[in-house]
Amino acid sequence: MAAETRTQKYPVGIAGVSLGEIERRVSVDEAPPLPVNAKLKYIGKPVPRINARAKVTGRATYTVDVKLPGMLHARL
Amino acid sequence: MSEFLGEAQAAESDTTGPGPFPITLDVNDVPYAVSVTPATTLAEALRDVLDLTGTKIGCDRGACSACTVWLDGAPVASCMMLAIDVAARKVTTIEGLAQGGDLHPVQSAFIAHDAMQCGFCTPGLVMSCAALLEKNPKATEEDVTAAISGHLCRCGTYPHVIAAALEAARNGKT
Repeated sequence: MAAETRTQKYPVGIAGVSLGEIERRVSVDEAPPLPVNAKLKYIGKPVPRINARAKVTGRATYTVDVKLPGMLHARL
Repeated sequence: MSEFLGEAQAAESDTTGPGPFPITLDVNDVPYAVSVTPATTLAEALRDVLDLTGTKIGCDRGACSACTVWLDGAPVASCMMLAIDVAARKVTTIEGLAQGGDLHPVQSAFIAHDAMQCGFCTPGLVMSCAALLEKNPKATEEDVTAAISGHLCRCGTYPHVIAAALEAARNGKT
């Protein structure tokens, strides 16, 4: 039994270079394609690095900065 | 060697070491009385004795500049300097660069330009760029590249670092 399908257009290619459209048959319960990035909140937008402030103030902790009670050091 | 020691310390003995030796380090305007062996580098004293781990040790041989701190305002590789040679000079580390909650303009610009990836070299780069701008607030791209020429960043964020330093120079001091 063939599943119910619908026809959906999708963007294909690279914006500003060779953006086109392609038509596909997809399942009826397939989510619609996302709008262009300009209309989205997060996708395609720069996101500030969450630990940038820690890194520029020296507070970011790296493995070599950790001291544990009774910690031993090995060297090969 | 005694010329590098504080006068009182030099008067006690002609020779020093190999055991620990009491010195006072002026770090970020706080005097710390510490005991270090003569072989202890400034970087080791900051990280292991004072727990100021913002100063990173990358190569421990003066090749990567990750350990850059200020000595009387001038950038130096703290891994190439013995703690006892610092004597009374003022040490400024990455922890002491921000004044209270206010970041140094170079630190803010590093965040704005995302001038870091893993961030391990970042404290050293910030100290060098900030030292440059303290000395020359109108630094050019040529000045910035010269100032960071000793720094190795294996993520390769140099272009963002240069952009950040130049923006801090354009904006001037807060």
